[in-house]
Amino acid sequence: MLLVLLLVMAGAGLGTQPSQTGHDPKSPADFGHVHTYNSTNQLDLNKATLAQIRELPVDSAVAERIFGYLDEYGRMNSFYDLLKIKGVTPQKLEELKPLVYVTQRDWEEGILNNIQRIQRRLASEEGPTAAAVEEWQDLLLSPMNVNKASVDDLLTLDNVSLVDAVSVVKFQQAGGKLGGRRDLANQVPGLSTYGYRSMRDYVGYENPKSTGFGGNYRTSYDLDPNWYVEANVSEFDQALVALADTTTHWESYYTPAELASFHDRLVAERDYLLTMHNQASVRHRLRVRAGKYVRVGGWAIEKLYEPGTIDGWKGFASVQDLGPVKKLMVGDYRLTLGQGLLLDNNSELMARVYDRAAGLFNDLSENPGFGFRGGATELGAGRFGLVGFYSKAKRDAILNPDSSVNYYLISTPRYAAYKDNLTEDDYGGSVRLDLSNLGFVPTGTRLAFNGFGIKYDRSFRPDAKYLDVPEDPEVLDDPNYTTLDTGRSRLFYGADFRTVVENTSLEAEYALKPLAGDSVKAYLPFSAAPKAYLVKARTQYDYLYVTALYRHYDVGYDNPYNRGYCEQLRFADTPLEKAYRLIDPAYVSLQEFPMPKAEQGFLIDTRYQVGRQITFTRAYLDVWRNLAWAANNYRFQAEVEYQPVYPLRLRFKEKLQSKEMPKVAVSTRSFTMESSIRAMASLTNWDYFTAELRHGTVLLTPTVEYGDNSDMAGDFVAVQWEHNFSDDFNGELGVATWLTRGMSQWIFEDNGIDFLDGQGIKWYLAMSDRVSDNLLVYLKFRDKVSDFPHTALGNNEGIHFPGSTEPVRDFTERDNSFNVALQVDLLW
Amino acid sequence: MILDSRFQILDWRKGAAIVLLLVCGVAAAQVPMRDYVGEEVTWHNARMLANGGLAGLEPGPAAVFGNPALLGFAAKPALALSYGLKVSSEVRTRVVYDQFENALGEVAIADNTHGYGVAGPIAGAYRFGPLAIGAGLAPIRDFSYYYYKEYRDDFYVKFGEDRVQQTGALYSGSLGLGYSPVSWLSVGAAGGYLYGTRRLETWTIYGADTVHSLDYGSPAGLGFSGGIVAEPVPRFGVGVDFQSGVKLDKWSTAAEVPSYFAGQLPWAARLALSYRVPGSLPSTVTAEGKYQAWHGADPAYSNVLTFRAGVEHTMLSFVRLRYGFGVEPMPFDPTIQRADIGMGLGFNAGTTRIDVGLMTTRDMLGPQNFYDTLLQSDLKIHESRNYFAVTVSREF
Repeated sequence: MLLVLLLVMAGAGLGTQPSQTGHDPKSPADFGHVHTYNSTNQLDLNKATLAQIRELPVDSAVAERIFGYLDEYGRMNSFYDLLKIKGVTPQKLEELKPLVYVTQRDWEEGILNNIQRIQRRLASEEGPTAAAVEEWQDLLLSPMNVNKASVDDLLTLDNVSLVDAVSVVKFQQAGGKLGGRRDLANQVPGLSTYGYRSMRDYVGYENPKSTGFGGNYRTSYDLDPNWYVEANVSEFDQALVALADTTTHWESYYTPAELASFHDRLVAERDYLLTMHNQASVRHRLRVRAGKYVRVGGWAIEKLYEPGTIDGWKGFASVQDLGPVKKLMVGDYRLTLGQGLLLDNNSELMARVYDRAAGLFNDLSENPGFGFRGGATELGAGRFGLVGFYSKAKRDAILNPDSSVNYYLISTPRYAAYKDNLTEDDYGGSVRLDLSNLGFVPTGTRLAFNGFGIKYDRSFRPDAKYLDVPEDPEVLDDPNYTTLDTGRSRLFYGADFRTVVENTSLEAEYALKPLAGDSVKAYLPFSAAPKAYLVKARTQYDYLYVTALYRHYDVGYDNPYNRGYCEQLRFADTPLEKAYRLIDPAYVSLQEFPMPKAEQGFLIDTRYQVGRQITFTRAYLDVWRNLAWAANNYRFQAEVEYQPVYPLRLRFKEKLQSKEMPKVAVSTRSFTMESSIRAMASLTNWDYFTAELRHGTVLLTPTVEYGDNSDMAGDFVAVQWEHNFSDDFNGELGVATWLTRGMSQWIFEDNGIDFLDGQGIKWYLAMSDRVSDNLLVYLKFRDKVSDFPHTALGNNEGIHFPGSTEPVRDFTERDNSFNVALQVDLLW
Repeated sequence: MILDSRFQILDWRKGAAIVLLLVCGVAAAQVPMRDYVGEEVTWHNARMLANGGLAGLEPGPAAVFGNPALLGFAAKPALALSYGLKVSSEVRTRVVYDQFENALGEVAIADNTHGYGVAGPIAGAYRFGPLAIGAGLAPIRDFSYYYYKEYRDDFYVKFGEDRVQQTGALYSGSLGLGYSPVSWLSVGAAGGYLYGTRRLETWTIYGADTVHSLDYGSPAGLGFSGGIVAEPVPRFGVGVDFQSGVKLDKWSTAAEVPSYFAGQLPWAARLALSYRVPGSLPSTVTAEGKYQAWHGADPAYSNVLTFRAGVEHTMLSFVRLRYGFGVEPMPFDPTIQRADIGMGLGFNAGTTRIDVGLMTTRDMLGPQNFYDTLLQSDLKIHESRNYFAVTVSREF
């Protein structure tokens, strides 16, 4: 904490002009002396000392006021700011005009100013992953030189398409040089308006100015009691009751030793949860730039609700852009190849996101369960490129009684029974061939061959018997689980391809998992080995794009690093979603495992600006089949935005979805309709106001399980107002109220998503304050009250408190959570 | 309930009362430990409150309660008056189960909200050349707490209640001196007489039986503080101060069972750093860390380090906007870390200044965090506290 204190002071102090106190000699103007400044020797007011200001034709009192203004406000932004000084009249201003000037603000100052604003705007409209936001934030601080950027460099930016990236590279190859935003907007053939807007904040037009020692340090404190610790304690109690229930005959399924271990583990986990009444965590992140080529960084997290001082740490050191070495990295890193079917070691998988930043990046994010730690390199020479990597890292996993691995487990908190149970070695690489301009081959064409292997120190043996409670009507027989791999190793091979022809891009990836003992034939594209493939085509005009995507993931393609485009996660809509169906409620974390379900589907997605006032911001139709059950589903969503006058936009969104939830006992089909209307207004001085109203309905096939509850709905109303007190200080206030009847809603809030359940109201206040040129402070707190009515209890005599006969009547459960987040960024 | 040797000396009537207490959920001494020892008043003025409880390095009469060296930087004689309001809300919940021991949800078994007004401090400072003297009277610990729960039968007829009420405050009458030999350095010292009252009453009414207990005291003691403040480079300030521990006599003078809290307040040391940042919104950034040696005062407690930081912006020449943040571990259970958020405004009108501040905090306690551990082990106690203060100060 004291280190943070000192760093905060350092940040406040760096880059500011030291004040200069001086004694009080009379100004030369007081004596009628001739001043030393003239039209060829002007004084920069923003760097002037008191003595220098006294040389101007102003009396000493005015000179002191000018200096006092500069001391308090740090600078003048315009020559006309002199009129704010008492004693400076318009006539005096005319007299000073040839003698002085005012330096403009450096672009670096403006960039830091925009970080939080852009980050929040991105998160609220497009929902990027945390890892992507980290990358863009770095680019805001250290923009890439667009005149030297490669296609891969530009593809790391959000919403920049392959066509846009290739357009810029073609312009470079034709000898063009971009000097600023106007050039970027107007001079690059094939670059769409949308692509330009997505690119402009992250690119510069020459190499970054700072090549010395620089970096940024961030510390953040989060108090977020609104997670499931409290609810989960009762789930463990229920699991213990179920374990002791003699009517379910557990003893006929498990040995006494196994039953005892279940019991001991459940008790230990419940008791561990009971100690967690402080849900705060502190994170520190440091990135350092040493010269042009070297980067180092570190990250640490202290979860105050878990024992130990440091609960996680990461670090990296890298060299980049050194001859053929595009990147050489040691430490923690992230790697994405192609479309993510073969390898993408992010822990997040956002459904319905098909663009990703591919390549090798340092990893200073939490990324639980999938972080790579070791070494990796990306080399490039001429048309050839090579990526190689190796990682050795521990993973949390569920162990069977015979010490084999049932499956990975990524849970919060990390229970001791699962922590670091598995050691995983990952290795592999990619060989790339740039075919651009080889004969008739278009610019941007590239073919890559990829391979990825995993070795474990234990054997995998997924076994539903040790996850699912016995004699439960919902049996864990979903092929997405039952076909999971066994053994101590896995191998994956594949290829990815991309090209651009005029305004159309084509990308594809193919990956397969040869089974042990297979012959060479198994590696061929049409063999019986489990495989995954994806083809994506996009046609782009300035105001229109159309993307078509087809994907197929075999049921047997069990690759824990597959993050390909999908509609559903692998274990969604399985008994793994319900804690009461599992031996251990901790296993419910499996439903979030970020691997796509085995599916096959076709997506068509478009954005079309009809005119200045009307834009279809997004419209898509996705039809897919759950391959494990041959269940067909579809999802349609359309958003149209209407801009009646410049600062005001109205966005209407409609979603229709039909999904089958295959279950042996109570299979059902759901039909979802959701409508929302959102108003967004850009007010004066960059104030931003949004209001949203959403209504959703889910209709279920009536079943024994849901009974009368086959019709669910959920609504919310939310408003947000972002006010800029100045260029450096802004605040955002948001209020939302909701009413759900079985269907929970979600809402973008600041940098993330919040789920709304029950009925309630919440408000939040976030302040982003650029205190100095080097220090940015962000503070947010949120209060959320959710009510969950429980009625008709009076007829049930069994309702009770533990260990009490005190009667319990109808009640409303009120969940009142208060979240606090503080983030301090220091840049030098 | 902590059953120890204290209960062996009781007669049968008190034994029956204990049974009643056990049956009724034990109202006796159901005071959170934080309130039993007195919640530290970190809102000596509205500016502190707006900065998340940060004392800071702003010269003024209130320095006599914090770092007395700041008196040496007070440019002119000044007087300051404050008034504060604390609104405390406590909800106790238990989990409800059905006949199959499935958890249905959490129900509030008690929900209490109360407001307490706190007058003061009043403080003044006067300068004699390089020397400045300050004096003031301020509450430094607040004992206010209230809990009430009714028992009703199936016909909603009330048949019992638990009530816990603790009132009182610990005040400090302080006198301080600050000496500034050069423009950038000041040292100071202050002494204070701490005095106050605390009164803890509990009632348990169950049918025709009433059990009442009283724990009353007039704690008093002497303490002193010393500090240094310097501005070694322009705009950058650093302050260090030390506050002595205080042995409070007469902590509990009338109680059926002796208090097992020794009435010893810990010594504390604080380091504060401040920087005035020029910019389009001139700012002052302040951060401080305060170490309190509770373990030395009472072996049952732990030493804690509290961290606070705040920013003050000059929005217009006469308006200031402040906000702040603090993390405050609880000495009786350092895993409970209270986060304080504050914000406020200050208005200058000539030589008069009016500051308003607001601070909010939430945390969750368990049954073990009370003076006497609560019986129901599944209880959760959700506390939220909101503080509001107005300070009027004037220079002469």
